Amino acid sequence: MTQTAEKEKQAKTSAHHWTKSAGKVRGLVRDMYTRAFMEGKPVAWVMYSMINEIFVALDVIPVYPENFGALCAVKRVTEPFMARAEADGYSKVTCSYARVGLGYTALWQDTGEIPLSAPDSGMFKPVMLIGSSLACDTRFKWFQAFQRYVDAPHYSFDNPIPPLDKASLPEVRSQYMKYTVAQLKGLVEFMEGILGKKMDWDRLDEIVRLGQKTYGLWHQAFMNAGRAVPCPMPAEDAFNNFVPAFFLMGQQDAVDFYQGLVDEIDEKVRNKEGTIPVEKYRLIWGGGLPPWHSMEMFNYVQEQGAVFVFQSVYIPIPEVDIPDRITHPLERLAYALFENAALRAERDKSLGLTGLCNFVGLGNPLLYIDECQADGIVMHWLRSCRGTTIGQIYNKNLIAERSDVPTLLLESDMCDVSSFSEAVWKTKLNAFFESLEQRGK
Amino acid sequence: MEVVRAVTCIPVDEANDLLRQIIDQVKSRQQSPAGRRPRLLIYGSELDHPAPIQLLEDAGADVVVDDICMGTKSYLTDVATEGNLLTNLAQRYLGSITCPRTFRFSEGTRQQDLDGRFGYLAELAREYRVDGAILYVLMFCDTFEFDVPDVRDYLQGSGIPTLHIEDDYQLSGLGGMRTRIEAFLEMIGTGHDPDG
Repeated sequence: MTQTAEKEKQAKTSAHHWTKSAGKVRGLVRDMYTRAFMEGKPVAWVMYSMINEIFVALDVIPVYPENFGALCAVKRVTEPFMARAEADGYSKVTCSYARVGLGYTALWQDTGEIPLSAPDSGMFKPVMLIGSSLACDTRFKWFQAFQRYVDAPHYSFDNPIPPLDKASLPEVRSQYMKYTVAQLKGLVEFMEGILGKKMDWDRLDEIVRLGQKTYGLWHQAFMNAGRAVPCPMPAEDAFNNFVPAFFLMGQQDAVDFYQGLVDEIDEKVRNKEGTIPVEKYRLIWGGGLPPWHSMEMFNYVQEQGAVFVFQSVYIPIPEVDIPDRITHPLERLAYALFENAALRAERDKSLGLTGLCNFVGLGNPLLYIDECQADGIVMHWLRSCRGTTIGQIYNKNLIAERSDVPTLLLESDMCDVSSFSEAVWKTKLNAFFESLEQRGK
Repeated sequence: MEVVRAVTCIPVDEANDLLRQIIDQVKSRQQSPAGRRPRLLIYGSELDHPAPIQLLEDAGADVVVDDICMGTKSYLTDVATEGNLLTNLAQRYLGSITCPRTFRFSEGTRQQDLDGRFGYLAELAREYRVDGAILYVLMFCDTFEFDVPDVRDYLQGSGIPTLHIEDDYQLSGLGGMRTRIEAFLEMIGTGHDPDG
């Protein structure tokens, strides 16, 4: 394919960037992958588990295969990878991120070469595979399955989320803390064994503190943007701008990125600089990972006079005020993990919800309707992601009961473009906009 | 399957009486009810309907042992009754039951890891002298789905022909399964003489 044709193809499937910061993310992502090839440091393949700080402290370059799946989907190169994994027996309904990663490693094993179609040079060979239980069970089974093709030791740790109605009980907090610290200690010991060196706890402590600062800036930027009228940062930009918080946490790059984003949002808010000239409809992307293969649908939405002012998938996590009495960095990290879950539980409880588990991969969009002055919610059912799809109907019913804001359900997948129909999406969106118009919105 | 399903939802005493009757009945059999037919192991997750097993038997095989959540996984291991009972319960759930959902760290080689995860299955197959294994996996049961290629290769590597069938919980794939099952049974042949 010529360079021009490739650019045209890319333009067709990508969403526009509305913040300068979103434009920087592509470079940061490219660096993530090329560093693994260039710096000669040990590489770990990791499931995102809010513990990037540990890798930074041990001088390990983390590579996140789920990010690689999304990257391949954006580039529309997932098909040969998924087909290879399916040929080996991995079902078409298993996580498409996982199928992309497994297919990539299988093709690598087949030929002895990194598959040429892999974007950003591909994922460099790891010295360890780190899975976790956060959000869904695929997150450790996938890494166990990686060992079919990758000769690297695998370790998975448990990262439990407390049930909503129990999170505030002191005895629950203390048990969860003990358990999480034990899990993280196990991970560090495993890594030390592979690397042949010990953790520098003082360094980890500094990095955890830097991470907390980053969380604060991320939260500030995203929430300020969601509340602002007109909208300075639509959801499609947020789907780029969450990346440093997930994959570069604990690095100065992430702090700089979010400081820049906070400043940029503040300036746009001051200047009343929005995304589209007239916001006929303010929407919330209320669940389900984005359709990475067809992000141009967000451009279509804007052409109809609507803008996604917030998304409740990659919800920004606030900085946690960790008490000084907690001095060990792993305990500080565990405290922050628990506190975040407890804060989310408290917010859900503020709606009068009890006895419900947190839907880990799914924020409750009802919480943000008033705050973001939203007129409608759009949810995305994903064929191959249970973690962010289970709970959507519950949330949809809750929104119908507690507000007069309508919800639209769209269906496809985060990576597998064969589940996506542009015509169906446009028809459903148009009908949704008509119904909003008839409601006087 | 019917018996196991029944004992999960009737009082314990009645369940025990029922099981004793069935054990007596089985022990009093003089010969296998069906004669010389392929002996199968069925592996899978939350299969709680007898239809797939009926289909296998109608196709000419005997399902002689299972490794499914409603089957041996739920009763092959006992809870230790000495010491801390809560700990013993946890130990059984997390340490004894061979569920793909439970991650166990393995320090050895890849082969040792596979032996640790699936060796019991090959032993079960040998103990029950099976001629083949059916991996009956429900869609969206990811913990099983991600194990399928490894389980299949492990059993085949142990000399046990294996057929992977993916179905949904509404058994909507049963019709399409029949042909695959028949072809599989034809491939593995008539199997052992149950009395020999």
